[in-house]
Amino acid sequence: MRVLIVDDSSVMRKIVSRGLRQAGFKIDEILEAGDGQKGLATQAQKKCDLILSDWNMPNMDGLTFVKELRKSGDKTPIVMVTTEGGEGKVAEAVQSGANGHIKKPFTPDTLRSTLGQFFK
Amino acid sequence: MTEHEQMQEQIRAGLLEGLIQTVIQVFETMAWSRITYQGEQPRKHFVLASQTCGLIGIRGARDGLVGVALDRHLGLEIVSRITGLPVPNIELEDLADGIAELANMICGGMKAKAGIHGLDLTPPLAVIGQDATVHWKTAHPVRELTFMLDRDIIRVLVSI
Amino acid sequence: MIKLLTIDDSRTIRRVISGIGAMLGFEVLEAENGAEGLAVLGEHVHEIGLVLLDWNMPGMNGLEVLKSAKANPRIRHIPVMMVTTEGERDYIIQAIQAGAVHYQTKPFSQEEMATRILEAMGMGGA
Repeated sequence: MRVLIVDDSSVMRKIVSRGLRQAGFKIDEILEAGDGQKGLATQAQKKCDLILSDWNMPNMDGLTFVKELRKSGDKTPIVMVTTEGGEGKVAEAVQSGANGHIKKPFTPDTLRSTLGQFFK
Repeated sequence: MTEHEQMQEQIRAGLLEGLIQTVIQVFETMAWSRITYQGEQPRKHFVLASQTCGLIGIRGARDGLVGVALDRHLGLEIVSRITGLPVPNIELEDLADGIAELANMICGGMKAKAGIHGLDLTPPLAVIGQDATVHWKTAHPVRELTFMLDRDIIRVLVSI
Repeated sequence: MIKLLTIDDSRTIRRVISGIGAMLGFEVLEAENGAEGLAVLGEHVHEIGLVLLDWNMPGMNGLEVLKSAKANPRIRHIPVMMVTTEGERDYIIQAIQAGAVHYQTKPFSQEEMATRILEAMGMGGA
């Protein structure tokens, strides 16, 4: 199982990645990308099994990233990482092809209950 | 050298070493800026002539004074990197507070790294001005430590 | 929404902590001295999940604020984390004895502070 974390904050990428490990998921590799564009490139090369994406990023934001990835025919589950008040945006992302969302701040427990379905 | 003088010399050397390490660490962790130590030179007087200065007094086991001096544009850039505020949005109060906090962290780190107990630091003082010159009477000889961030100079004056 | 409260006389540090808190998904309240901090704490007692408390402040210092918070049955359950310069490390033991749950020395990287906040709130970390 390979997971891709798309977030412009390197700190947040580390926090998410640590959270995933603490949640106890069996993950072979965690890959990181600093914006949507880099996310697309990494996904094209590495074919991850699950993608976690931030919203606001330079170059290409999370919503455009979801749309572009789906346009390319990639059906990998994408979970958006949101902050409170982002419910409207979540609906738009789901319409565009995202599979779910995690609300910040999250604990290893929330990660486990939200993401469990995507791990085989 | 008497025993007392030897001890004082040890304290002084420890503080100087701790100061150099700490200046580099503070810029790297708080401002994501890699600075390099260029060396030190003796100075006749404790004069901070840059546009952005932070100053802290040391009392107790050893008396002294530490000052950090940067050009205004570099001061703004560093405060921007620390706080995440864009440079044009940094107000005078942000700049003064940022530089004071920089001096505070540097002196706190110096004290901890030197491992000296019974050393008190005064609250930091920030001086921001086009033509300000801060001249201090000091008890001990003054040294100027120079650090570089790309092509900009950061001066740390110390009398300890 | 869980809130954090930073009590620090330095607006620079308050701003840094606010940025890190927001990144983690918390709303961050700010107070610039102990008295103001205790007032905010009393007002938002049900929302605040962690207090980040500076040691050296004019007026009440961090330890006095901590003791005062721990003596108040309404707010004593809220975890407090000390934020101090490295030079104040000696005092940390006093703060832990007075009820602080954690501490972070300055300077800190964003990652260190973010991890420390999550640890102090029992939300993972390390």
